[in-house]
Amino acid sequence: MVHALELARWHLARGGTLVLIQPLRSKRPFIAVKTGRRRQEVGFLVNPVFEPIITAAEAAIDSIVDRKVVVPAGKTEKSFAVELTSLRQLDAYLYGGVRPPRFAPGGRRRLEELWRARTQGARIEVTEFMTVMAFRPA
Amino acid sequence: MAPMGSQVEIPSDYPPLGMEVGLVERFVRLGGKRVLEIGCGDGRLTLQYAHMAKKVVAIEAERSLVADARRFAREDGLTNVTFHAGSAERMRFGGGAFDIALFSWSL
Repeated sequence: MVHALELARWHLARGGTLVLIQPLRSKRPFIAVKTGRRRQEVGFLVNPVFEPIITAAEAAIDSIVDRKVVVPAGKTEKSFAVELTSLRQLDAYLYGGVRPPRFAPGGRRRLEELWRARTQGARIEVTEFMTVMAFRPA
Repeated sequence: MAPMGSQVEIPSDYPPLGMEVGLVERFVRLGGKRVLEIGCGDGRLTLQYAHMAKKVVAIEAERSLVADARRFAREDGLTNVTFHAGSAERMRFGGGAFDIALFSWSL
């Protein structure tokens, strides 16, 4: 990762910008059941397999900043929601990837209870979080 | 809702169209810039901003995704985008050749 970042820096012209779009470590995907304006929260998902990858990415970023390869130029965070119409669609959404997350203890049960008691038009909402970081050549 | 046994439609887990471009542009304007995108996948994000950029070189390790990206770019009539299959760490395009280097969910 460090090598890739250093190489990206090498490719930048004077005054150029290195931009990273990343998942946000501090906020994992959040599940809720939504009907109209009513939103019943289930909780955050956990992803132990994914954590070391984020940790490595952060270490790589810290490394190029510490060695003054680049200097931070800004950072922003954003969330977006995906609405799903069934538990089956949620499972396909969550577990289709190579590093699927899982529910915290009790989370799946709570979701299934809320979903069984849903009213017409209910959706399962997955809120995802991202960060965008910008750096300039030092 | 899909009937039992049928294929379930899986929504994208990427941000809605335009969100990432808007966030990137908080820091740097893409218009008229030479952009190096690392980990472009099937060009999902590339195709959202390429029409603004002067030139885009996009790299993806997965060959099948590069083939998709090239096809989508062709369908969009983009002539300023070049997709390369392979590892970003092995590619050399010349020092200082780009105004923006973008890692899109790929670090």
